[in-house]
Amino acid sequence: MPNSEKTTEHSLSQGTDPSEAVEIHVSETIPELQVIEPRELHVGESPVQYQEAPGYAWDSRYEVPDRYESTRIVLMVRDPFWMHAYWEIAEDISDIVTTALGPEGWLASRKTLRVHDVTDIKFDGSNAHRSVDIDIHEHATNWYINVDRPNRSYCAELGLIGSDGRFLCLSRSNTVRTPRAGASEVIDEEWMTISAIEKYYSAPTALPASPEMISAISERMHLEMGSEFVGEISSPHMAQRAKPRQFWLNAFVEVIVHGATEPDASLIIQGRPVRLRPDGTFQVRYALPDGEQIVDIEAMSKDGAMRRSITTRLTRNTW
Amino acid sequence: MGDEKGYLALILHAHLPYVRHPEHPDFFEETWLYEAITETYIPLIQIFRRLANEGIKFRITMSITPPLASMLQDSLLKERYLRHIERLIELAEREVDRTRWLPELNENAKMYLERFREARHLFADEYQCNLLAAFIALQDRGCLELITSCATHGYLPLMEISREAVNAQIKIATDYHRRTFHRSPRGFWLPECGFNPGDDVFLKQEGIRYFILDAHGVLFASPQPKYGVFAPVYCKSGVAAFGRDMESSKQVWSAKEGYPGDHDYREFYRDIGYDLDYDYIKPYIHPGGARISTGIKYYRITGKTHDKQPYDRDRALRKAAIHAGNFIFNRERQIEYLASVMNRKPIVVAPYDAELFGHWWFEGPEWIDFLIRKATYDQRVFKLITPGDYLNIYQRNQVSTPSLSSWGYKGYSEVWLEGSNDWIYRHLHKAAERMVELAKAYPDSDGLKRRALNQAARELLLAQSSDWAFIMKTGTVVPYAVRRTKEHLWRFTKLYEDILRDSIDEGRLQDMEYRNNIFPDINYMIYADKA
Repeated sequence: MPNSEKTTEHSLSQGTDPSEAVEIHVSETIPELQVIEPRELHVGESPVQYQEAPGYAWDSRYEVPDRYESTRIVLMVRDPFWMHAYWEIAEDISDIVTTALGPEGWLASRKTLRVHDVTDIKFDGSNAHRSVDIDIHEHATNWYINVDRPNRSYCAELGLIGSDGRFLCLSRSNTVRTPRAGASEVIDEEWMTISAIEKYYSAPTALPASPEMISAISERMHLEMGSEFVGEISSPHMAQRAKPRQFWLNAFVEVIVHGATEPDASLIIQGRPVRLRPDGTFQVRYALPDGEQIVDIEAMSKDGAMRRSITTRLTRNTW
Repeated sequence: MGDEKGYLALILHAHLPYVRHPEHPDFFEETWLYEAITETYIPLIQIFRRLANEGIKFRITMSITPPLASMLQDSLLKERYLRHIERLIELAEREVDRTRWLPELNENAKMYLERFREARHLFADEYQCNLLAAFIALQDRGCLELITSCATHGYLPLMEISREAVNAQIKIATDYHRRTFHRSPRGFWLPECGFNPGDDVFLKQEGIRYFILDAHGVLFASPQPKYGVFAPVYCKSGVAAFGRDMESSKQVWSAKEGYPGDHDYREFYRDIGYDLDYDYIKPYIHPGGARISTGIKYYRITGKTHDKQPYDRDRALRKAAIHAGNFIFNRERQIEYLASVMNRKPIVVAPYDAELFGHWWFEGPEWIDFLIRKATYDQRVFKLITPGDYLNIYQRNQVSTPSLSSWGYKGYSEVWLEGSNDWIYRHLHKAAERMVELAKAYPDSDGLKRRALNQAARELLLAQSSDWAFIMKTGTVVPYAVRRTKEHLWRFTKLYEDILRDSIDEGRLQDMEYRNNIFPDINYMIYADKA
């Protein structure tokens, strides 16, 4: 009955011979009723709000440094069409800039990433197949670079272009090779057995030069197959939950049966042994469905000579 | 070789990041390990052991990463797991009482109580808290081929700038594996299947014979692999690359079509940690008071509804058997076809995260059980095999250079290199560079300096775990992942500065050794290796 109001009524009666209950203290409030507060069950935001473990407070001294005081640019491959560069320009480079571009060098120049296609060549600074300049924000320290041709080698130079158009290279990156975006166009087969391995192992390992081949990335990558699911599964064990639904309400009823007997007695409720606390008190909790339930509580003294029992009838009606 | 037409290689990749906080009595992220032990590792051990005891011959490949193996061997975490499972047993006992008048839930409560008690028994009594012994025994009985992975599951394609760091991730892992499992690993699970052409040379140096790639890593290899992903290719180094089969993968992984989404299977997201009265459940959830999963879940997936029906174990197991049969039927047809067009027996490689089975897909271990039984008794088309076995059968393979790739979203490095996590690399790369600098500047040190150098290597390795970047991207426990990255980097940097100044703070070093004790036998000189 979604969205309908539920009301719960409980009628409780305590049965059995009152004289039997003399030696057992049973609180008058039993069975105690607990109407569970409505709350989110399987809706809402991520269920696991990150909680600091007590005593594990963040210490700001752990911050990573803003800079390492070295001028450097590093290139990484993200996929066949994207690379990522990060860099740092050290303070001490100012002199070089001033010498090269004049006192106004910094102000009059534009910070630039010059990306070179250096596939299968030994790059000397001027022999790239192609070079592209990317204007970068003054304060940027990293950049995603889109390249139209996969399966090529690239390096990037971080530099300044002066007012006269000259390029001052501050740092040159490592060279990376982007992957193919489709099947190889090389179909010559080459086979080997384990015994032949050593020969290849010592042979020069230059990558074969391949003509361009721009084909769509395979269907799988566009399909993004099972991405959500895969993402969840390979994550550490953390629940991510369903989207919120419409207005809702849940109510459940649980009863707590509690009491006390001699600390060394044994106690059986509903046919199951119940552990007593050291002081002889006990507590058992039951989810109460609609209808009538009988609770049998039986205690037996340690020597088995004495027994006491109490039976309670519970009725719940929900409409 | 028998009269089978081809082979199926089931590969389970078991990994968790190194999470161990001795400085805190009750640390939430450690429960990742405890849950995986109860829900995945122990059920898998039980199933493999039972199959072996019944004399069923099967071959499964399993990677157990060094961080996971280290945690399974750690005495503090063993003690804490015992405490954890005992608390769960107590909760399950209370649940058996509480659900007394709800018979459908009560059946499930009893099931959990029994499972938890069995888990405790297997862990504490049968294996004296050393689950690795169970895996080693299964290896020795010829059921499992255990392989390793990077030392701390570092994602190699984004480590390329430091060849020494790549070398260390591979070498430390294989050394650790040999010491732990008493055998040299034949195979290597590249974390996230992340491969950069050339990394195979480091694997070769460690005697590794094969690794696994996602399908396009092999399909886009050059020259074009003649048999696609259904036979390995040799890199020029002679290490073999096996490609993942998309078809079998999809049947299990896919959110829409995959088996784990079946309506009869247990619903992962309905846990009593969220459902029950707060005061009642409080002792069993996050020590800080947040509701978290307990592992007790009473409902089945049911369908696209919030009105979930109670879980029916028998019905779910019948479905797992049907799904295992379906998987086998599909493999038979696939392999028959492949065999008809190939002039050798094809291998279908099906890798999965081990934690999928049992933890996320509750019936997953039973599905594997049915799969092995049915594959053994009900068909003759294919046999279960490991990639290592296949290389023994077919020693001659095509030479081809696999493509840079991963099995992450979109197939490359975007998951680990995007707006949320790209900031880490400048620091990781700098630390790796400094580690190499230290190893070269202070070769063969001893005493306090040696300890500091070794600890610097540990902190660097731990910072490199791919898990942190992954968590930052997927947005689950981001602050924890950020903190772990920064803390390891901070400790590394302190050690670096101390060593250069020749003034090592022994108290601080001791604290670091106490917290981050992975790889007790590490030798920092690995970073001075020519890479």
